[in-house]
Amino acid sequence: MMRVMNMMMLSCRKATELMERKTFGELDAFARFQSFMHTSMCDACKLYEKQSQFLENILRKQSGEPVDDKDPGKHLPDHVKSRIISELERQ
Amino acid sequence: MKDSNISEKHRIISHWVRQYSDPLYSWAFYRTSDEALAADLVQDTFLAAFQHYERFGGSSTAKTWLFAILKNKITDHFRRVLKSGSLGLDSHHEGTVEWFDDQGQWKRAFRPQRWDTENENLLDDAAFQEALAGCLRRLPSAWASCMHLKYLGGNESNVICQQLNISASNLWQILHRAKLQMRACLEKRWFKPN
Repeated sequence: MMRVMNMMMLSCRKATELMERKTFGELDAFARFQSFMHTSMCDACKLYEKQSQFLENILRKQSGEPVDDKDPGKHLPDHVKSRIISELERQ
Repeated sequence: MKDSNISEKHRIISHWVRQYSDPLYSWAFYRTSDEALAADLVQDTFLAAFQHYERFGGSSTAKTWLFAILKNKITDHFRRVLKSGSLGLDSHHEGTVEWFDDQGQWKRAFRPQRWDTENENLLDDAAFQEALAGCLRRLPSAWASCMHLKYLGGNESNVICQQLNISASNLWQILHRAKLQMRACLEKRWFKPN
């Protein structure tokens, strides 16, 4: 019985690593179960999972093509734009 | 006839430069944290657009097409980063933090704390954007490269591994450590400062 329990129990290190793999949808049923068991008993990992999911969402949101009406934030200096245009003329 | 085609092409792409280089540049800078490199990538994007202008069909907008080209340029850049440097996985690597104790449990100092707000609207807050960018800059470049590639739409880890020529277990390790570091950094710089 103890051995079965040990097999089921993950360390926090392993549990948080599995969460990362889960974002690719590459966890088998047993690993998903182990991960679920761990987070249901570990408050720190439960928090980590929530925060990691939040990070996942914002980082993914940032990688799309930006929307038109939004200020891009950074501006390419005018002399670089002119450089690109004259570079194009030379093609 | 041919000359007039070329000048028409110049006219259109120069117009695109004025219209789209700011969003392209911001997007590239966010991923590379390097102004000169971001400017070069934008220039390469327009030069490639000029060379392959015939491939631009009416099926997408100019902006979408330019972003697709830039995405390829950035992927190539990340691949070069991974090829040329270390993966930053050995424990002596500068900046490597051991978050867990010998049993693999959270060390007390690194245990995640409760955050008051974790709303995706935070992305509209310029100060939060700045904190996020600061945390990204602190990642070892190989880790940042892997992370950006993941969010650039590589939903399958084997595609990223092939692109970067690294093993799946290295990729998991890198993404795991990058996430641990990003979480702790944002906690310190934004959610629980002081």
